[in-house]
Amino acid sequence: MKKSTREKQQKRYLQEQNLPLDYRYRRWFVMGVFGVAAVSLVVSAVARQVFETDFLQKEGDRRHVGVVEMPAYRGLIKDRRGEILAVSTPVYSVWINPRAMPVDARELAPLAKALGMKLEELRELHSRYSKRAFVYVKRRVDPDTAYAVEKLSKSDRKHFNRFGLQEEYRRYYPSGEVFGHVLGFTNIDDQGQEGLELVFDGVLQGEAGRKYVVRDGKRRVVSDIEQISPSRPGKDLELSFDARLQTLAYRSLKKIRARHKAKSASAVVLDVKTGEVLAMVNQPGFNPNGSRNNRGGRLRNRALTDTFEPGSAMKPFIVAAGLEEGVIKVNSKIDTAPGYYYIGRDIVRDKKNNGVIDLETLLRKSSNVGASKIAMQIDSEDLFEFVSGLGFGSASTLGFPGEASGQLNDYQRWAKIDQATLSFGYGLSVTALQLAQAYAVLANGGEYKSATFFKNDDSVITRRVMSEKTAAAVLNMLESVVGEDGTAPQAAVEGFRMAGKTGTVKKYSAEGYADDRYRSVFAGVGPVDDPKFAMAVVVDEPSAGKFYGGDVAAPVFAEVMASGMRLFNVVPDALDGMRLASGGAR
Amino acid sequence: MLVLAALILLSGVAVAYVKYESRMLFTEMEKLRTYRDELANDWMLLQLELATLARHDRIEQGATGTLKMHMPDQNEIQVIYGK
Repeated sequence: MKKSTREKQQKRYLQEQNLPLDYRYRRWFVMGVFGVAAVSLVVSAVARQVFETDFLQKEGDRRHVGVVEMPAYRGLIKDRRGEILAVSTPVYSVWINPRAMPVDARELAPLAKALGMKLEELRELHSRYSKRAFVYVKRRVDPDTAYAVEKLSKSDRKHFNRFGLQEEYRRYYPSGEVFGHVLGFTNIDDQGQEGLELVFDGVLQGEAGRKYVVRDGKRRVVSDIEQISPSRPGKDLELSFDARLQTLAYRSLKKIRARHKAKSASAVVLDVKTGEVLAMVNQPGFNPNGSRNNRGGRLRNRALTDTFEPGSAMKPFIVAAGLEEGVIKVNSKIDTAPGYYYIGRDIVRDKKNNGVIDLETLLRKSSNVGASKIAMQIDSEDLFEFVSGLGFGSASTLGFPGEASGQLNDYQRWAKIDQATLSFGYGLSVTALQLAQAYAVLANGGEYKSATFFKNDDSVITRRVMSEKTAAAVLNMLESVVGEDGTAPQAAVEGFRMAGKTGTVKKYSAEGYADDRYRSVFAGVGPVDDPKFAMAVVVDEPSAGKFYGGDVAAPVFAEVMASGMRLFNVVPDALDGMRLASGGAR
Repeated sequence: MLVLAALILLSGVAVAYVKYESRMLFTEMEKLRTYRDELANDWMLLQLELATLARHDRIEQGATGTLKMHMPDQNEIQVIYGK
């Protein structure tokens, strides 16, 4: 009873206060809200844990786990003796974050000072890129500057990410312009752009590795987690070049080009027994460490990209072909009188009437009539096979960018006169390398070796072009060219028997062959007893008066060969002028 | 059943431990790698310095200038044959 009285009292009280009599609906409502909340919690928990887990994990990782590249070094390039020709060294670039860096002079001044910049300059840069978060202030600073900036950035720790250093690699070429054409260069990202850097980019470059790292909210790397792929450093290249010989050849060529005011010049030195390229130089040159504009074609490796008519330098091969095909003998005599020779309506001329001459005199006097008469007796197909066997008309196996194959028309398209002009080196075009290679055949006992840029390269192709006897005979004849009454006494090297042939070629232009523009050519080998080197020198348009191959190109040959003999310790084979140590040499 | 559960638990712990270990080792390796890279960088700089100091024209200058050397003339050379 008590209870009911109490309930009644409550009811009355509520009525007096004008409040609802029952909480039932309110309770249900609150319970319902809690229920929905609980269910949605469970559902979303299940959804996140089970259905969305991949996505969420990824998003989380994206915020904290990053992939960082581990850079790979670009391989070195060395010469045959291990001297370094190209090396990548770390350099630093300085950046700022204009959004985090105040324009305050107090903050900017120390950085400007460390960089050796004017404060205004830095401020100007800052305001120009004020919306950006990353701007290079100075790229590739010197190590001292980098050190100063690093120190400054350490003392600036409390404001992380305002400025700093970025490591980059820069390719240096210690030998400068001497190896410019051969090596080429890399771009700002250290990728090969020209020359061997381009050809062997894949080998040199290596492969950057990747790894996972943990980052904090400011994208700083906190720790390394795992390696995704290892970095593979680039391989070093060991070339066949001799940096000393290359340097001397370059200097010699540069000097001669300046002295004769020539447009351009090239020279190639080969090891005749292995096909290795020991030196390859061109003028004009460029410094791969500096500006790389191609003004006047100075980036071109002319020894490989430019072709020319070899002129009289071709004659030794016609004599060799004649000997091989049996149309002449070593002691044959050829009647070149009266100094000209009609082939159909065309005429081949000598400078003067040489009369009846032997083969050695033919080469020494460089008789066009003599060479034509030999060539006309050879079957055109055989002659073509012989000449292309020497490597003319097809690109070498070097695979150098922009390399020319030269031109040697098929014999089926030859007119009669073409066979004659071929004999004195017109109507076909060759590169300096091809010419050196062909002379190397004479020096290597008649065996052709494909040229290579690598030391001890076993992929060198060898093929016999002529018999050892023929090669030796022609080589002996060529020795007289370098003699006192030959066309190139300036090609002589003291203490050594040298052999070679000059060429003075009229340049061909739209109006036909010019009478005042020449190419001076000299190609030769040495020492004759046991040949080591073959070399070709081409000087384009010498315009200081002299233009004969023997006057312009031959001195380069002699200079470089003399250095080569010394550098490679070649035993002298002509000791007449030298003092021999008698018994008790002092 | 109980044994299997225990084994699962054990292998779970082992996985976690090995993962931890591998991360530690990787961190260690990274440290060493950084060190190696620093050394390699130094080496490259030294190589560059060497190549610059040993430039041919510089050596020639030293030889002909400071040391007053010259290429031997033909009559200054004696050839000695070894046996």
